[in-house]
Amino acid sequence: MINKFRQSIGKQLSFYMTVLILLILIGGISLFVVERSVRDAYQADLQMIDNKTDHAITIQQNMVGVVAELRGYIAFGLPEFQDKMKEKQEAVDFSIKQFEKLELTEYDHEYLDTLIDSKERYFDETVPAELEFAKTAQRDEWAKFVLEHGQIRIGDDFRQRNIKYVEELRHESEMLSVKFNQTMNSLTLAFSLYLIFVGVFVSYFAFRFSRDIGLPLRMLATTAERYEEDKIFSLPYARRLDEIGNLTRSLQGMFKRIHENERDMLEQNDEMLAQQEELIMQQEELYTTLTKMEEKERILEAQNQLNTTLVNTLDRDKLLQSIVQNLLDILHVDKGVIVMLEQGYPRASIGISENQLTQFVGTLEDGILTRVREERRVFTITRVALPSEKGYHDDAIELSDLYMPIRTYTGEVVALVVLTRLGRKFSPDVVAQSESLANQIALSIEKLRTYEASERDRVLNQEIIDSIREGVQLFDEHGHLVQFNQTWSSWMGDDGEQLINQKTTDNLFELLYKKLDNPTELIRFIQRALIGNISEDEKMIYHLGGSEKRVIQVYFEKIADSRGEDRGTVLVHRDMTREYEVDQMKSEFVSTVSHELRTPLSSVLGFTELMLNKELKPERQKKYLTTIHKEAQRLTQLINDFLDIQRMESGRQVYEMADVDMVAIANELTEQLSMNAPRHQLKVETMLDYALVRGDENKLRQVLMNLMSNAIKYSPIGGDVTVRVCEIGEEMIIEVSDQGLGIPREAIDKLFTKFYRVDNSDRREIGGTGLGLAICKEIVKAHNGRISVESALGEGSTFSLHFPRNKQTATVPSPVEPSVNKPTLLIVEDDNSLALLLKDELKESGFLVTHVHDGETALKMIMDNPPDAVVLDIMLENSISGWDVIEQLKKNALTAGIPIFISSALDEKERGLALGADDYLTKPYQPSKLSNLILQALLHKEKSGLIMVPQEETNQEGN
Amino acid sequence: MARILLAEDEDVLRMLVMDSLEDEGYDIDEAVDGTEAFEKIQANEYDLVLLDYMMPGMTGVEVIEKVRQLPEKADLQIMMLTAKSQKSDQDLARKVGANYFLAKPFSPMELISIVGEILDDK
Repeated sequence: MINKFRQSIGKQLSFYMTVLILLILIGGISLFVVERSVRDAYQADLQMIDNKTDHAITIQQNMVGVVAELRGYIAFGLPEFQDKMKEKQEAVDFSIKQFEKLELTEYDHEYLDTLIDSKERYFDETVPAELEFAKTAQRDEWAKFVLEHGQIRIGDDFRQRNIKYVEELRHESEMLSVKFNQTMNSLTLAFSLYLIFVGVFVSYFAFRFSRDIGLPLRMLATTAERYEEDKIFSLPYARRLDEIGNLTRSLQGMFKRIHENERDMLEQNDEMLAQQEELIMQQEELYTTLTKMEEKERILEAQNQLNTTLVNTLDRDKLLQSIVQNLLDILHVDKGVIVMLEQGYPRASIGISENQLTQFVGTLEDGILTRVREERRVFTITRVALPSEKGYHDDAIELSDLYMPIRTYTGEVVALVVLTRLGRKFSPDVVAQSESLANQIALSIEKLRTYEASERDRVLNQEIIDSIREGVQLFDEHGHLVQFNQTWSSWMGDDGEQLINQKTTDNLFELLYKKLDNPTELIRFIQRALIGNISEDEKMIYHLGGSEKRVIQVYFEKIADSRGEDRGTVLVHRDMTREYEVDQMKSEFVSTVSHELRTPLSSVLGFTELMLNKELKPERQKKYLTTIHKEAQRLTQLINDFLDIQRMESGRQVYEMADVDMVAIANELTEQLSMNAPRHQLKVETMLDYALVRGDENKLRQVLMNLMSNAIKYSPIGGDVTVRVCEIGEEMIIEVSDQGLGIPREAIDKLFTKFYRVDNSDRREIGGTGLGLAICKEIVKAHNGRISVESALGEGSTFSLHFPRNKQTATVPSPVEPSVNKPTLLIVEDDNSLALLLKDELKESGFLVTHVHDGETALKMIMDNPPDAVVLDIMLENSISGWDVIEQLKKNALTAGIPIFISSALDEKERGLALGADDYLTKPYQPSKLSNLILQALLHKEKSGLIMVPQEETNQEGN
Repeated sequence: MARILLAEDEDVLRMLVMDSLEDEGYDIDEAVDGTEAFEKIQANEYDLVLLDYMMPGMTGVEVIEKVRQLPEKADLQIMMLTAKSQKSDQDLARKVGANYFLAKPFSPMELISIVGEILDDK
């Protein structure tokens, strides 16, 4: 058991702890018990003293009470007092008896005896005596008695005795107290000493503990931590039986094992180092292999690159460049070039200077190409390096050139690749490889060419449709907009450009919504066209809004391929804005004209009806008739003007040119108009004797007449009307001024437009057709002149005519009188009456006319005596036809130049003109027409410069 | 007697209508353009207004539109004289509130009888 005890620190600890606790407990309990008993004793004594004190006081009090009652009784004689006194006496007795019951010391007894004694004396003697006196009530005697008997003294004695006793008691209690305190103090001291003793015990114990347990543990810990092998074995704890001993032994064991492990590990380490060296060697091997593989990969990459390029690139330069680059890598060459054998020799190279390249390309045809074409396969040439190729090497270096012809499947060499390698020759493997590469490249170049051709076609196609002035849209079979031309795009403005990238019909329709004010109809049209719901004859007209308003007519065609499959739809948009505008203008014009015509017509009809239906006074009738007449005239004038302007605008007006003297005309008109304008002074102002203008006299007269009568009309109150004629520079200027109403500024721009009449109440009376100035403008324009006006409201107006001055002042023969001899004319016509008619007309026009009936005669006469012109009928009785005649004439050099005018009932104009006729008139026609034509033709021939009127169509009604 | 306003810019036609209707004893006022016509309508009480379609300034249609905006003139009888006899113009005239119309050239006798009918009805 001792061993067991020794083995466990815990047990030891418990033991000592238990002992300690016991000690403390015992000490504590003892102390407690002792203290308690002392205290109890003290308390008991104290209590006793208290009791005694109480009793003493009670007795005292009762005694005092007795005395007081007695006195009271004696004083007042009331029986209550006597009763009370008796009570008190009894109380005293009682308390004394009580007191007797207590434990009394000797001193106490002494006190008690004295007390009893006193009491008895008082009770037994004094009291009754006093009572007697009370009965008799002899106060003074009582007092004397009292004094004599020393009652008071007794009382006082009693009291004194009590007091003394009580004091004694108190003193005793004080003593007890002191004693008690002293005892307590001693106890405390004892306990403290006891605690100290225990403390010492504990300290010792702690010390032991520390030394036996704490220190070893510390030592062990440090040793283990620092791994001090020697120390662990030197520590003295190993033989202990307790936990420390265990620990020490364990640590020792552990250290030993660690040591062993260490040894093992070092061995292993050496092994590993050896292995590592091996690994490094292997790694190096791998590295070499890797480098080789990378190289191979690079080549593969290059080949791959080449393939990709060949397959994907459609950009010629990129393709060529890539080919050279990749070949360089794949075949390990130092420089190279690829040249395409077509116009311009497109090429790409690496490592070759511009000069060398140019030289190479320049000498190709005469140089290596011959061999290339003969060999047609890859070949190599080995040679010595040129100085320029040697670089910084001194000695001779060999190089090899590799020539790769690129052949299409037809065998034609389309390109040549030349690669150069310094040093190593090209092995047969490489040559073989190059062959296959050449094939690949060939394919690619084929593809490129095909693509380029296709691109050219596409571009051409686009250019063609762009050149069309109509807007063209092409939709595919799914209804997607795939192409459109420039024209259409420009109509759409900027938005049209965007559409190029998003060619869906939705975008198109969106665009249309923007561009058209009313797009729904067009959109529906397009949709139905695309679906094929409507016939191809359907067209539509729509309006484009925006800054440029256009009127467009659209029609469509379905496109089908050779198998009849639907391939799409073409929409063609024709800009008919012009036509539309012209139409609009025309209908406006027509409606205005008809309106203008209706007014005078209404009045004529109206007044006539009034006259017919009513009984009217003669003045009334006269008035109406005058109005009717005037209105009818107005109507006539209007119609004339209208027809004039129509003719002029359509270019069908014929002007007979001559030298016209404007001064003369001005004078004539002045005279003519003065007659009917009494309020006006008409005059002509000029420095010239005559002023010649090349033009149509009638028309020029018309212009001047119009201006002058306007001048008169628009100065209703009268005034001067002045015509000024002058020459300034190259121009002839005629001005007509008046002092009349003037023209407001807003009106001046519109003055020369048809039907325009200035709106003013003061003009309302003046009337007019509104066409006069428009007609003037047309006439002046036809004469290469211009007309303008200067005017302000209320300040009169001046109209100016500017004509180019006519340089030829000499009289130029009028077309009516050709050069010295009259021209000769031969008419070939079997119809006599017609011939006669023509003859007359032509004679009047100044021709010498001969008439024959048949073709043969005509030919003969023409041969003998060629006329200036021939009028030829086709259908000739008993004769060869006019066709034969004309053929014959044209065949013969002598007669081929004679102008021939066919006059026939047949309408075969093309044939006639094709055979060489100058013109062709279809019967019936106005003879004057014929004469005009002939004149024109002849004079044209003679180049005396003439008429600018366009040719009239043969089917026209006469003008 | 009934009071009539005639608005017509062409002198001869004005004269024609005046002469036609004067004898019937009507009191006729003249206006030479749309603006004058409107002013006179506002200023006076007319039993009938004869209004030309095409006039400078305010056209006949515009005059009617303005007149019909005046509540007191809502039932003023208006006849349009029009050189156009297209249905669309007739419809337009009717739409803006013309009560009658007559196409030019009109017969004065017809005019007299129609005016008579209108004014007798009142």
